[in-house]
Amino acid sequence: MRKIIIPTTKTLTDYLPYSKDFIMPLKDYAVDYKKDYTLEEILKLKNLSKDINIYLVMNKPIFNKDLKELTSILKEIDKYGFKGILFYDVSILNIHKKLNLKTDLIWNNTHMVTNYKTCDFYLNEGCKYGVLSNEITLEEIKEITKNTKMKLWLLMIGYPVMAFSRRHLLKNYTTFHKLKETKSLEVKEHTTHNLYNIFENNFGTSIKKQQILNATMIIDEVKIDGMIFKEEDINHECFLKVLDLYQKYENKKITKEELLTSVTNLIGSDSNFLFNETIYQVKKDG
Amino acid sequence: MAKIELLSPAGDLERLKVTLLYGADAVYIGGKNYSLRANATNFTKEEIKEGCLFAHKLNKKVYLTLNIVLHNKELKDLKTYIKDVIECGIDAFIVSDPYVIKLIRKINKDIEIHVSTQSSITNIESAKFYKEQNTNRIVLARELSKKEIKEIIDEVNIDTEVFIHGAMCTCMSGRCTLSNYVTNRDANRGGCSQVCRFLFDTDTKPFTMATKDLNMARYIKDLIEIGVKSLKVEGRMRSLYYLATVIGTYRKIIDDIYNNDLDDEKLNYYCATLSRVANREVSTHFFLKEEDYTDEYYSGRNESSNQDYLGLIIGYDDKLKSLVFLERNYFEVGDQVEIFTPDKKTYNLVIEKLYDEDNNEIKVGRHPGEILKIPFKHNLVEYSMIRLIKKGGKADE
Repeated sequence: MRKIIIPTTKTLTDYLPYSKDFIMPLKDYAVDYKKDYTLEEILKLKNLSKDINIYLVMNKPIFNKDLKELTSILKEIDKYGFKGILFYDVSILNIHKKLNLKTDLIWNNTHMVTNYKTCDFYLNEGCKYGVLSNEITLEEIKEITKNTKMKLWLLMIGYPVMAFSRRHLLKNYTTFHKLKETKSLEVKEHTTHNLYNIFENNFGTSIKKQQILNATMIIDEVKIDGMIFKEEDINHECFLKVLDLYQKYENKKITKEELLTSVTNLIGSDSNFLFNETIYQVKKDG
Repeated sequence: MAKIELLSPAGDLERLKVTLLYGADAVYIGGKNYSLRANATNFTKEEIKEGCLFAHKLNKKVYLTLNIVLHNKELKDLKTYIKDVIECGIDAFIVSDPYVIKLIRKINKDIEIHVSTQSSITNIESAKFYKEQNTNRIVLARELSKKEIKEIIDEVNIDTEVFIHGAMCTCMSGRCTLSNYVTNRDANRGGCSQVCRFLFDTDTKPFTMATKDLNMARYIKDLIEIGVKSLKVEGRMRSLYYLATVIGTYRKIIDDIYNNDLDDEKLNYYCATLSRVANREVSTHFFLKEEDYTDEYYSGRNESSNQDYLGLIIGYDDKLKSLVFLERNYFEVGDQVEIFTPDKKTYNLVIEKLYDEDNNEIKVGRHPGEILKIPFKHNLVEYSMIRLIKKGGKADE
């Protein structure tokens, strides 16, 4: 299993001892990430080393006015040998097919990558990889990986995004209350007292859980192609320590128990939905 | 040119009948499984069959939602379920997962497939993608402007459906799992607990993101002119009265537009009727402008209950020459009421006499659920209703 890093720093140097695979949100095309990179910045980073693999995130909602520029940039990206594009909107898949582009596509439908049949559908449409949803259980992940040939990635470490709105929820909130403009706000749910982070860019607002997902406990239970390590809002030194621990585990220098204990000490032990299935039918079937 | 379709929600068989009688051309319903409103009553297969027979007799249609985000375990009986509901007589599936589209097409090449708003179709290329999957209609994302809707219609030869009335999601359809994280209820499998209407604490003012409701009554003509094929009302969990009022009103608006008979006075009256059943403020959201702070609430749920609905007429007492009805809200002799019927008739009257079930004259209807009678010269069609216009001579508004 590869480690795939979503960085937050301007350079990739710190991460290179641990992985050569990176997911990088492309400026003007990505949502749900606080740090994005221009194409020029990404190209510079890519040229640091021949064996750096970069997967671009282009997951914003696409509107008609975006299509012309989207087509141009997809053509441009195809020239540079990026390893793949993480997409949400199927317009990217459609344009990619029409232009017969060669950059791999990664189906990144956020909350909808939840069963093996739909993985197969997108695999047949030309998507080599899929990013599993953060809201499914370990058993579901195992069943999906067993039943599809699509190469799957999973968020192992990082704050999960819960929702995206086309609305500028923070701008609207500060405008209404005549508060100082902000791009990020921590809120506490009134009843449960759980914390959430709301942040905004030009394309809308994302809402993120304020607890780091730590899926280390399932490391030897799932057969996936890539483990995603998302640095956003995690202390840089702490994040590097987590990567280092995984490296040591891979090199058999520490045991799984040692890995789990050490990572948990650094970032906590929130397993999100891995062992917690959501309820959706309150009433009994008739 | 075919008249634009008015598409109504129906959470159960009675709602299906009422809304079709009040003027919907088609209804969308959920089965007991695979529907995004898991907590609506929803339909058994027998009820789907009965609903389809009822609709088809009126030359109307029934669409079945199969638009949850499928997990592995939901795949198991899916094929059988699709075959069964096709046999029940449904006219179309509303689907979001492209695998399900493919599966339905494999089972039946003729049945209509509508792509759910859950797929958040916001552009021409995405619309083309779904058209290429051999679907018949796309339900457009609620985040689109009039211009964007028109561009999609002009460029892609596929029927389009848009939402015109009801509650709005804060987040993009399919891109929200707030309910999963905050209440452990799966938003994308029908368990949405509407966390976007919760209150959140901050260091300063409480944060909310609740949206106002959608109301497109004044822009139906625009939607007809740009070539939209179907107008959808939200709310499979809404009451009979709400559906009768909203669907009945939009029916009149649409018919008046086609008859070239909709003037400002009539439109204002229709909008006032819609506002009587609204429990939130309304907006056209993305249709005319970029969204802004005026489309949301900033202090909690901001919902008001509506007590206009006085009763459902359930029969006629020939001896007493009175309508028999099931009371829903408090009212009294002297109140001005309106009786409205599925066949678009309205009768305005002041209640001069009121009787209980045993024909005793009373002054006040106090208890919802009571059977009461009011004098009226003739019987009315099934599912006629009574609403309050003014309290005892005093303006109610």
